[in-house]
Amino acid sequence: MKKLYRLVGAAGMSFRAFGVTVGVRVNDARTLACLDHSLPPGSRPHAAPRVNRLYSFYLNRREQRRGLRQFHTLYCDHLILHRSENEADLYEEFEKDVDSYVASTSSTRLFVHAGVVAWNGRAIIIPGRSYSGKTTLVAEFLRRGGTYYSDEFAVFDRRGFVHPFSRPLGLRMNSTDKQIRKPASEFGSAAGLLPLPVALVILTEYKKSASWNPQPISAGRGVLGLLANSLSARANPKRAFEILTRATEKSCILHGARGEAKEVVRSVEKKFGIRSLCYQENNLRLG
Amino acid sequence: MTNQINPLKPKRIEALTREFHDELLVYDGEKHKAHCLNKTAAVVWLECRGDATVPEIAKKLEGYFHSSDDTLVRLSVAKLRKAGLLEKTEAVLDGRESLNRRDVLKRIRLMAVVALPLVTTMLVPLPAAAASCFPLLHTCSSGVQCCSGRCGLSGLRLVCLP
Repeated sequence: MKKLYRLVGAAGMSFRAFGVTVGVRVNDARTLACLDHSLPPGSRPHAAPRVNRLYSFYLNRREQRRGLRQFHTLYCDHLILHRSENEADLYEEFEKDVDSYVASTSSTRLFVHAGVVAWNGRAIIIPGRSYSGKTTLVAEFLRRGGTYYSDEFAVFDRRGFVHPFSRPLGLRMNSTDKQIRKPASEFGSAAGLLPLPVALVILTEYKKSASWNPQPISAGRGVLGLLANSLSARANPKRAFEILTRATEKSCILHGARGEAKEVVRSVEKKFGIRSLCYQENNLRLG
Repeated sequence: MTNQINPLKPKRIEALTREFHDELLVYDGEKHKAHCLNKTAAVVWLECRGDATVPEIAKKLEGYFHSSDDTLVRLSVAKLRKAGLLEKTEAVLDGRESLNRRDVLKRIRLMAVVALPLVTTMLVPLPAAAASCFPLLHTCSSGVQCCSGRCGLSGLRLVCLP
């Protein structure tokens, strides 16, 4: 660690996001300005003698020599996280890793992998992992007037309210793995600011040629669907249960495969309030 | 075959629980599984203390099921066992263990009042498995980080492989 410090001791800073303190050291002070957009949404500068995790950027900006490849290196604590000839790759890796770290270790919030939009002052949660189509669905809600909260994480507080985690949407184009980042404004939406209660949880996955015919399910089973996408439930299941039951106390949970996102959004637009679909409202019995 | 020497006395596992509306959420910390039990399954599970046979449990719950027939309790115990919510034991239910839905429906007279037991189970993932996965050829350190599930050598680097 001392050897690493000698390399990256030029400048540094620390910040706090959702109760997690992270430090960054660099070998070139200009790098700190480049990191502004990569910090987790809601981060605040926080001077701390000790941090939960320390990232170190070693950017090799020496004059290029013929025949020699010039790598930049990102360290996470004392381990190499990423090496690349392209500086931007390091910022991207830093962003992914720090988001993931904050999400899985925050003690003040429960993170669930999900898209979130605000609709008529309440939140719609779309849990799902990569390639489930949640960003596409979020984008469609935004086009139809929803307010953007996140396409990556639903961030729940102890009351079960959901907070924004607004990075630009990462849309995959033409079934490739490459993501293209687009701000919410490109979809005619602003980013939300206030914590919101949850109105609707949509447990769905894109399937080609599927038609949207969701079934309402019980709140308990809805909690399971959220737990299956939560990042810290194993570490503290009691807290996860408490928060997710509060979050879904008065919400509707829908489950079903979907085809085109427009179909889903039209259905929600038409029936929002969706009292006729609510499990709780209809006292449906399962089994 | 009836096991009269060692009748089954189902015992529920130690687990974190939370009542939620009419359901019971159960978290098995050993297997990292979360379960949702509907009212019928929950009532039976809570009675599984390891000190009563299935007919005895049915007798205790006669007021709830409006019947002394133990079919619903048997079905519940079978489902709870399958979900891993009861401690493992060598004792078995008697010859009526293989219940099917039609048998149950025939036996239960008051279906309008009581629901069949329902147990839904979900595996609670590790943080890496719950987060976004890496695409092909992305640097990785383990398979759970990759969308493909495979992390291997490509040249001198560990990357996500197809």
